[in-house]
Amino acid sequence: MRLAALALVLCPLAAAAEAVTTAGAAGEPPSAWLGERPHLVLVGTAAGIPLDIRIEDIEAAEDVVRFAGKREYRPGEGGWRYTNFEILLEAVLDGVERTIELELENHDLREHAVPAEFALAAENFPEGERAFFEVQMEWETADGSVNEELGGWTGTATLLLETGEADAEGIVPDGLIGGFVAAERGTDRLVASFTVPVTETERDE
Amino acid sequence: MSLRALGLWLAAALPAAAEPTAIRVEAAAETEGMRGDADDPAIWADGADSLILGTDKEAGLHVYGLDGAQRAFLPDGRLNNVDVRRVVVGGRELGLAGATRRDDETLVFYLIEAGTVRRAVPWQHAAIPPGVPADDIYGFAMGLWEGRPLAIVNFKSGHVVLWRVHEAQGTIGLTPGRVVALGSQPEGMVADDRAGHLYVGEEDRGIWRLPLDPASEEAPRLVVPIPSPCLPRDDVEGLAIHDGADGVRRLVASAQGIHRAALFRLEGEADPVCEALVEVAPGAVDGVTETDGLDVWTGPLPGFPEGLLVMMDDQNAGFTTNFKLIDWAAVAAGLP
Repeated sequence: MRLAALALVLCPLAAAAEAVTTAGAAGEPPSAWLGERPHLVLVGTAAGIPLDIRIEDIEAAEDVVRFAGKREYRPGEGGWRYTNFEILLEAVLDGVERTIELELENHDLREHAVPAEFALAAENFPEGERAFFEVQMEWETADGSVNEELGGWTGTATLLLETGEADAEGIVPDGLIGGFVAAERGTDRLVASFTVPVTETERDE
Repeated sequence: MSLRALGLWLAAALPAAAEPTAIRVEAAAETEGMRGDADDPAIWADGADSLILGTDKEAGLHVYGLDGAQRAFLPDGRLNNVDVRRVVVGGRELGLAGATRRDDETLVFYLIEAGTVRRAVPWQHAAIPPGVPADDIYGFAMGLWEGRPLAIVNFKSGHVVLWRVHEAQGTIGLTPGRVVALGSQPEGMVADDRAGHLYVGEEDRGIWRLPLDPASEEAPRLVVPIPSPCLPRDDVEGLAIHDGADGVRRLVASAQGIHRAALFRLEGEADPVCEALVEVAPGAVDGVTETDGLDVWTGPLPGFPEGLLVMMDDQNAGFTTNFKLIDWAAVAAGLP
């Protein structure tokens, strides 16, 4: 690709890559999971964009439009495998409507009773005590837009909370998912603590 | 000669690939935002009764006026792509729109007359011919071959099926024609009725061309690969044809990975030539990002005397998605 074309591709990111913070955010990232109260704390950098998002009480956060978890299932020999979950945040941060999604994948998360620690891996739906972690970020300002899907992190993810009532097929459509992630990707470093209410499931056939 | 010296010599000796012209425009209007998931638009040109059809791939079909205001919503399921052609049904000339319905792997059809959209009879049709291992219905286009309508459907499995559409006493029927299999997931398609070509976007690989003739056995040919100057990264999404009043014909492609509409010049049987990349920047209306489906109308429309480009916008205000309306005159002003 020629330089001019490359610059064209990259300019939306460069135009909108300022730090993303919540009011009062500052200080060290958390060193452990912050507990069962629904929250999302995301501190570090992703695609070089500084993030310091500390929403420690989702229900009290006026700028949060949507905070929801989704469990996804795929067919397996013994029924549905619980292969991944997604955490969606839609919030107005620094006056900009921003969508941030976190996703964690494993061959079958049902095989890992909480607390369960996973080594982050580059492959999708890895078997054993490994997981694939992805961060997605989307927003638009007058200067440009950010649209990033960032996979291939290394580090660890620890699941500390999995609640909800399974139906006859083993699908769990409600409850909470909580955990802690410490991840690296090139020069990016990211720490996440979350507890998210599950509002949706998907069967990917 | 060292490799580095060879590289320098080649760089100096070989002509550089033509870079696309960068065109920056602002949308003139937009449709109402939807909390669902906007995907694909189709323009129905009919004077003051002109409409924009737009799929919400989670919920159904929206019908908008050219001011962007919603005229109707048909809650008909997970409609993914939509397209329209002018046809004769029951002895009357009207619009026939088709859409892919992901709930049950079917094609559904609508009739458009005097600014209203209603279900055709029968409304729903099987989309997979017997014995074809197609799976997960996805993209859709309509075309005209020898004056008769075609309904062209593709599947995430890579299959593309050309159906002949026939009409008898006001009812719609389908007869299977050619089936083609691409290597990975296609979506955007457009029939170039005048040239007799069908363009199919394979999202990660590029744009294929094959004969529109549903009886043809000629193999598809990759005419715009990814990466290339107008499609430097995936996905390629919606496709449309612009027939300029000056006789210049263009293929318009949604370059989702760079948030642009890519313009290619079309001349006979030659491969499309990358010409320009159109950015819809924020202005009175917010810009277009992660665009998916698009459509183009070449002739005059109320408020758009030189035609209209409609593009899906994934990041609209209020965490919604919608469709942006771009005056083709603004695009034309930036062309070389």
